[in-house]
This record gives sequence, structure tokens and C-alpha cells, in this order.
Amino acid sequence: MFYMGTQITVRDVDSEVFREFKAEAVKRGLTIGSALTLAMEKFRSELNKKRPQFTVLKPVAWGKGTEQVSEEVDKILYGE
Amino acid sequence: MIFIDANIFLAYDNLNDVNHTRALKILKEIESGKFGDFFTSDYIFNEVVGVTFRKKGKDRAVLLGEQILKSFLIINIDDHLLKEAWKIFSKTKLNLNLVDCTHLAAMKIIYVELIATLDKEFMNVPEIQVIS
Repeated sequence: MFYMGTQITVRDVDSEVFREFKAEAVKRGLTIGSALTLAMEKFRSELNKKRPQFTVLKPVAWGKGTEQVSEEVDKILYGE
Repeated sequence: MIFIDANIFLAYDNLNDVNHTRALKILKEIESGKFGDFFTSDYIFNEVVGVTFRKKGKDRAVLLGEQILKSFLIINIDDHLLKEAWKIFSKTKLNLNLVDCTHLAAMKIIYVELIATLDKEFMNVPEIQVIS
């Protein structure tokens, strides 16, 4: 089937990301147009995916001594 | 669109945390769509699970991690983003660690200006707006 796509010009594309994208497309034998269409489809489906609300998870008491944990992430993980 | 930092998830999950009520309010606003789409990163995921594991135990870390995986779009910090983060980290005079700079790199690449965080240092980054 012959499919005529739309021609587009896109500004503000990160050059390094585009270079890698192009290389990956070529490696897989895809044209830039078809690879971009696939990527846009994937992007759209990821954004539109129905996700459960995070706050259905009920918070719990972590106990005494954990009151400052949210302000001490770096200290806990990296000793900063 | 808004990026969500680890401290928001941690403050939400812990009823004892001094920032719990703030985090709950912010997450409810985010879920209501007030800031548009929302996302976090795999580095954040790692931090949340790591801190929860240390402070509350593995069972809670698994529960919290599973809920984040189900509920959020998670950006992968790949080679390119890590290099961008490294550039930011190398140049900045602000008190931001490399992981903080990966947030900025992820936000920059998709033109996101909002970050939900309790870390006040992000308020000194000119290009972004902090929701806290």
C-alpha cells in the first residue's frame, strides 16, 4: 500500500537526541519518518495510558525518628 | 507538565513526616490535573525505594514502589540525559548534587518548568518554578 505522509519542519529539537534517534532508525532499517511516527505513537499512548491515582495508597506511620526523612534524603542516601 | 521529586513521595507516605500534609495537598493537586501531565524519573524512583527500605523496611518499599510504577510516567535517565546533567552539575554554583541535576536535565529536554519538591535550593534555579 502506498502511503503519503505529511511533511513537517520541527524547531527546538535537541541535536544530540536527534542524532541518536537517526542512528537507531538507520540501524533498524527504518526511515526517519516511520521511526518518528512510531515514537510519536508510543509517546501518545504513554501519556494517555490510564493510570490509577497514586494517593489510593494509604500513607502509614513510619514511627518515631522519621519526622524529618523527607528533608534528609541526601543525608540518608549519600551521607551529604 | 510537572516533575515530581523524591521528597514529595516520601513525605506523603509517612504520616509522621513534618511535610506530610503539604505533600498530600501537592499530590492531590497534581492528580487533579492542575499542572497538566506529571512525571518523575528512574533516579527518583531509586531514591524513594532506597530511603523507604532503610527507614521503614522492604515490605513498605515494595508497596510504595509498585504504586509509583503504576501511577506515574517514569523518564529514564539515559546516557544523553546523564551527560546533560553532568554539564549542569559541573557548571552550577548552586548546592545541587548530580541527581538533582538529572531532574533539571530531564525537565530541560522536554521544556518543563514546574517541579514539585521540598528542596529549597531549586528555588534558586532561574528557569524553573517550584511547587512546594
